[in-house]
Order: sequence, then C-alpha cells, then structure tokens
Amino acid sequence: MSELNTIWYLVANIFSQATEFFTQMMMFVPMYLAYEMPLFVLITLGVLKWRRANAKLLKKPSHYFPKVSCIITCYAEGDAVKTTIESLVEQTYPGEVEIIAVVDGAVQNKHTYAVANFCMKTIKRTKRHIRVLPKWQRGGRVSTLNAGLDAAKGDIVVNVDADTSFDNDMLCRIVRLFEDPNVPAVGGALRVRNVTSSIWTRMQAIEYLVSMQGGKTGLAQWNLINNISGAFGAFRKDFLKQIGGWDTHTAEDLDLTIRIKQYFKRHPNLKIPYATLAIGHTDAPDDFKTLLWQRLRWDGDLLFLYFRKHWPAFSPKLLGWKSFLFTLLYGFLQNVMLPFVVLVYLIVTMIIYPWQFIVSLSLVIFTLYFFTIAYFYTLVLLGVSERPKQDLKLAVWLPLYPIYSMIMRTICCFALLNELVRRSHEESSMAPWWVLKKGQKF
Amino acid sequence: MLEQSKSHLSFFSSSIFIAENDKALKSFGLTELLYFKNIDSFETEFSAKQHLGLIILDLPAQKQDETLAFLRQSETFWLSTIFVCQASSLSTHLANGIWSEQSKSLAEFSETRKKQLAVNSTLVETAVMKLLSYLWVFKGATLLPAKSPQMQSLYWYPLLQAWGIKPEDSINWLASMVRRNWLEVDSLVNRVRYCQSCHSGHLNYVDTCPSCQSIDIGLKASLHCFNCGHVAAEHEFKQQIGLGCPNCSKPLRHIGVDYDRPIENQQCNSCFNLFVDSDVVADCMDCGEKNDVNNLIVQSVNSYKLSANGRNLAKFGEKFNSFMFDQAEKINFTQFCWLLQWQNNLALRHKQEHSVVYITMENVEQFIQDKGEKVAFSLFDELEQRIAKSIRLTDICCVQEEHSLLLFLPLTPLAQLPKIYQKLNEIELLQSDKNIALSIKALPLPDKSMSDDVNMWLFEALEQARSIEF
Repeated sequence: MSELNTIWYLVANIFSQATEFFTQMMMFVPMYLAYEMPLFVLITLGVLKWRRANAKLLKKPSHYFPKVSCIITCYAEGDAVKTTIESLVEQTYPGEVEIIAVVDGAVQNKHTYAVANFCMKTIKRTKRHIRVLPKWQRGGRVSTLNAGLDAAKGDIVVNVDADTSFDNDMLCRIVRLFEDPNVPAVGGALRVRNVTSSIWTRMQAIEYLVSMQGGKTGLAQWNLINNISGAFGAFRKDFLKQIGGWDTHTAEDLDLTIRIKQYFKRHPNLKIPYATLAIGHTDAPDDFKTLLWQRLRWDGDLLFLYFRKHWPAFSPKLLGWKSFLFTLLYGFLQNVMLPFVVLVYLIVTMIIYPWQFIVSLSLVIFTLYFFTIAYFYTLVLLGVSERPKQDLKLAVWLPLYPIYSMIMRTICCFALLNELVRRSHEESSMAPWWVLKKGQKF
Repeated sequence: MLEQSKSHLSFFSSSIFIAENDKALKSFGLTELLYFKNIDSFETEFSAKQHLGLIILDLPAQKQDETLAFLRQSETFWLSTIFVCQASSLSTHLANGIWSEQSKSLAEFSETRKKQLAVNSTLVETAVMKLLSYLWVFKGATLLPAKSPQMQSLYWYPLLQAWGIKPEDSINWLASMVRRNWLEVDSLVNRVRYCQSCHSGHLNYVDTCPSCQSIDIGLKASLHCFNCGHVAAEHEFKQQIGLGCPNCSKPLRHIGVDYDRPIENQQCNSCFNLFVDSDVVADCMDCGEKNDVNNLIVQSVNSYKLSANGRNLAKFGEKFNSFMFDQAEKINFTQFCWLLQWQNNLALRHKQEHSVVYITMENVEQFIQDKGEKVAFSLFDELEQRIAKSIRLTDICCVQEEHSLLLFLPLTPLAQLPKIYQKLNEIELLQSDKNIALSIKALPLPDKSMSDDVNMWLFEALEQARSIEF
C-alpha cells in the first residue's frame, strides 16, 4: 500500500507544480494564436465558402465532357494495379476516358506489367480505353509521368499512383472544375485506404483528413494550395506541356505546383482549385519504419525545393504577394524553420529548466495541439466529410494525435538536417542513380 | 568486248520500248530498242515482226496495267518477256520484273527456255499449257493473286484472267491443277471466307441475339449494393454525379467496397432475351444471305509455282492425260502386258477369273474447247472419283495413251462389272452432253488364245469386244 501512496504523492506533487508552471506557460498561448490564428480563420472561412460553392456547382448542369487521360505510374505494385484500373473504368463520367498504365522498368516488374496487360485485354466498357505503355528501361517517376503525358490523347491529364483507387464520381468532380478556363490544374483529395491496419495508419488517416479535406479545401478557396499530390492530381494537358511537363529530381509534384504558382503574378486569374470530394484511396505506410523513410524523403525534398531548386524564383514578382507571404509563413517558416526552432528550444529547456517545468510545458503543448486537431477534425467531420460515419470512428484516437505530430516534427528535423548536410535528395529511390546523377545540381 | 556488245545489239534490236517519252530509254543506254509512244502505234507496226526479244514499259500506272493485261491476253505476246521501269499495281503479277542491270541475263535465259519449250501442240492454246509454259520459261516465276476488294472473290489471278479463267472459277481451277500434280502451292497469301449462297467475299460480321437474331443488342450490367443487397440494372443506380442504391439510398462510391457488378450480360432490345455470348452472323453484302459463320466457305488464297510434274510436262511435253489417279497401283504398258500374260497362265492353272477393262474418252479436245477447262476438269474429277470408288487397291491400272485407261481387276468375273458401269452412268454431264462420250470395253481372263505378243492380242481382243457407250 505504501508504494501506491508514494505514487499518489508524486502525481499530486507533479500536478500542483505543473499547475503553477501551467499558468506561466499560458503566456505562450497568445504567441501561438498570433501565428496559428490566421490559418484557423483562413481554413474555417475557406471551408464555409467551399460549402456554398459546392452546393451551387451541383445545381448547375454541365455539358463539358472533354476526353480525360489517366496516367497510372506503375512500378512494382503488382495486383494493386488492377484495383486502380477497375476503379478508373468504373467512373460515372459520361465522356471518354483513356487509362494509360505506364510500367516503369517493365523488364524487372514483369508481374505488374502482366496484371496491367490482363486488365487491358479483359476489361471492356464503352468510352473507356485501357492502354499499357511498358518502359523497358527503368527511368524513375518523372520519366514515367512524362512518357504517359506524351502518349495521352485527352484534354485533361490525371496522374495517379498505381496503388491508389478512386470513388466513381472522381472524374465528374474533377472535370467540372476545369470548365473554368483559368484553371490549369486541380488537386485531388486522398484518403487512407488501410485505416485499420495499425496505429500508424489511423494517425495518418487523421492527418490526411485534417490536412487534405480540411486544410487544402479551406486554403484552395483563397488559391493558396501548397501542393498537388503526386499520387493524384489533374492538369490541363496543353498547359502542362507548355510548362515542360514534370521536371527531373525528387518531389516532382511539389516542384510542378511551385512552377505553376510562378505564373500567378503574370496571370492573376489563374487558380488551382482543390477537388475536395474527388476521392482517391491510397495505402499509407503501416509500420513506423516505412513511415519514417517516407517522411524523411518528403521533408528533405521540401527543403531541397524551397531553398535550393526554387530559391532564386522565390519572389513576389513571380508568385504575387499573397502566395509569397503565405509560402513564406506556412511553407518556409512552418515546415522548414519551425521544426528546428522547436527542437533547439526543447533541448535548451531540458537543460535549463527543472523536469516539472518540462512536464508542464509538454502538457500545455499537448493541450494546444489537441484542441487544434479537435477543432479541425470537427470542422471536417461536420463541414466537409462525405463519409462522416466512417470518420467518426477516428475520434477516439484523437488524443494520441499530438504525440504522433510531435514525432513527425522530430523526424522532420532529421530529414531537413539530412538534406542540408548530406543532400539526401540526390539519393532518392524514385529514380535510378544514373538518372539522378545527370540531373542539374542545386 | 566487241563480241559482247554484238550479242547485246542483236538481242535488243528485236526489242521494243513503250513509254510516253524516251527519257528512261536514254538513261538506261538502250538506244537500240525500238521506241513506241503507246500500245496502238506499236500494235499496227509490230504485228509483222515474228520474234520479239523484250518489251520494256515505262507508262503511267493505270495505262501500264492496261497495257500489261492487253499483252498477256494477246495470242502473240502472252509469253513475251516484259519489264517495267516503275512498279504499278499489276506489274508484279503480269510483268517479269522492274528493269535493272540483271534483267538482261534473265531475259536471255527466258529466250533459251522458249526455244526448248515442248508443250503438247494440240492443247497449247489452253490456259493450262499457257500457265505451265509461262511458269517454266520465266525462272522463278510464280502465279500471284491480286487483291481487289470490289470483286466478290476479293482475290483474282491477273494471269489467269488474261487467259480466260474467270476470277470466281480460279480457285477451283487451280485446285484441280494441284490435284493433277502440275502446280504446287508456293505460299499461303490469305484465307478468305465466302457467302455460301453467292460466293461473295463481301461479308459483314454482326453480333446478334441468339434467340431472335436481331442485331439490336446491348450490354446490360447489374449492380449489387453491399449495404442492403439490392441487385438491379445499372441505370437504376445512376444519380446526378455518382451512383446510389435505389433501395436503401446509400451512396455507392467505390467498386469492391460499396458495390460490385455481379451480372454483366447482353440483352436483346427486340425480344429482351438475356444472354452471355452473342451469335455472330456473316451478313452477305451482295445477296443479303445471313450466313452462320461456321457455314461460310473457307478458301485459302495461294501463290503457285510449277511442280516437278508440271516442269516435265512443259519441258518434255509428256502426254496430257485426263486420267490421273493414284488410287490403284499404276504401272506402264509394257509391265501391264507382262502382267496380263503371267496372270493368264496362273488363271488357267488355278481356274481363276479376272477381268481387263478398257475405258476411253472420245472427243476430249473438242469438249474442252467447247465447254471450257473448268467444266472439262470437273468432269474428269468426277470420273476419277467414281472409278476410284469402284476399284480396289489391289487392282492394277495403266494409262496407255491419251484419255484412256486400262484396268486389271484380279479375281473379278465379268458378271460383276455392271456395278461399275452403273456408277459411271450416273455422271450427269455424260448424259446431258452428246459431244463427249465414254466407251468401256471389258475382256475376261483367262483367254487360251493369248499369244506371246500380248500387245497384239490385247489390241485385237479390244477391237472385237463390244463396247458399252455412255
């Protein structure tokens, strides 16, 4: 019994000390709010604006049915390709749809190639044309996408990953946004397909839901979309060809988004909308190791693109003031600088302050993050989600999310350091070394 | 050098060049060739000339094809060596190639062959002999089919057409040539299907309802809602943008997750029959017949070359005989006579009974000229088939002279022969046409009067035997 008493005493002590520090900690809240509030407001108003626009769009009948080419970038996905092709064939879009499965390194990836061929021979549906384009020599993602772009005959090009399948109204929703001639590209929404596989996939499901359905939907209303996902994006083919298609190096999706944005100042009417209800379902990494590698790559590439490749073009002259400021605050500061600040700050506090202070600090940070995530989650659930019942099941996992988020921030730091010091983008697995070697150095 | 140019000169001095202008003539350096502007001017001037070394054409494509067809049709030039300067659609079929440096030696070779040609003079004007001579004279020549989509037969043989064989008869005609071992297939060019009613190749393949043959069929897909298990036609699920279950109103977003396609059938819009595989009907565009695909006439279109037999025929003029069949044992006349004598002696000793049958056809040449080779060959074929059916493998056959056949039927008394007569009598053509006649004579063996000169005995015995005429 005495042990229990001791533990109780310790907890009570921590709590009393923590509340003391907690009051002190609350001083940071206004700072946090000052930084995060604009984002809150932008996203919340954006979501409301989207709801109105979406309701209006649905009422208006459309007769715009251009031919669409879906480029599937296949590598070693195997049987998953079939699900992807089937879900594209299944689209309720009334126009012609060309489905091009580009198999990179078809010599090594015989199985994937065979599955794609099997689909081409067996699946027959009116207005759906399946083609398989084997790239015998492996050349990386960018070459696969550009090969598909070269073969595409449609007016709209949708690039999709081979392990991503789609809701059958996806094309209907995407194409409607292209009816506006000022739209060169549309971002597609992604959901996690394997939500229940592990705790990691559940966390990622919340992350995708909040950042995609919430963040991107809201921001896109102000034309501030940060990235058109490489797993699912749509482009006007002529525009895409005009700006040279996808560029070599890693993170070709972010690179392309940045390059499109560089036309914003010169063509102020251009906008990149986000097709919130055009849903693609993708498999998220279900163990920590795979997730770690994925994030190391993503975050490292972010730094490479912002600070190395597109640094000279980072100017309001090209982006326009709105995009420039937004990218500065929430692209550079939040994603590149903040993780360092947080890490350094954490280490310094750990050295200087007593443990009670650190516990209180963590509690405060946790609370802030929890409320933030809870707020956005509720916003998405009530305002955006097309599968509210399914998404509601994630609610019980929300308290774990701030911890997940912290882990991701730490990984991000390592990734940034890795890129800064080791130029990790040059060792990406997205293209073979002989291609990466020849890419322009930044 | 001088010698060479002399022979060159003599060969070309009898050659002609037909072209709209003589530019090519000069560029080839063949100035000694006689130059004509067109076929008419050439014809009036050239009919007098006896021998022609070579004809070179350099005409616009269509004009060239017409000229080639005219030359091959003509009784004077059907075996002339003809070269063209530029390929036209029929030049591969009717000319001997495109003029080049090597063409001269080829032409000279053909000249030599023409002199050696020993085809049977009585039948030299028929297409058979023309074809055999042509294929033998021009080294490596083949009979090539030409594609012609507007024709019912789809393919035709320009050379045969020039020699009077109609496109629709060509394939059967060639088949009988192959059966006679004069030609052999060089390569398979295509396989075509013809309407069973009018033999036209203009077919349209349509998928139809297997129950009422209506062509108005379409795909009918049904969806299965996972939420409530409702199964209904796809169109009932259609909503403004996506799909939704008409029964439980649940939106169906993702195949395999919310719904699947349990049934994908075809449906006839006339009789509403549901089926999986439609029937394919070949609709004839010419006579309107709706053919079952399995009943279409399938024919191979081949290119043909001369066989060893055909070569012998062209080169040595082997006797043309309408009886060519390999059913029975075939021996030559000397052996046949020896056999008769031997069997006669055996029969005398062992009291056996044999028969010798002599079948001959009269007026064959006249008949071919009157009725055409197609009819004649079909008659020969039928005759062969009927004789072949009547005789046994152990029977001995001997082709003695033109259009006649000697058969030795061991252990067959004369009394059994009327069966064979009956079969031959059934041939319609023999009954309907008075010009051609089949005569059969039969001799019984043993015959004690058979002398050592079997040939003489046979001749006399057949003279005396009563013939059964058809």
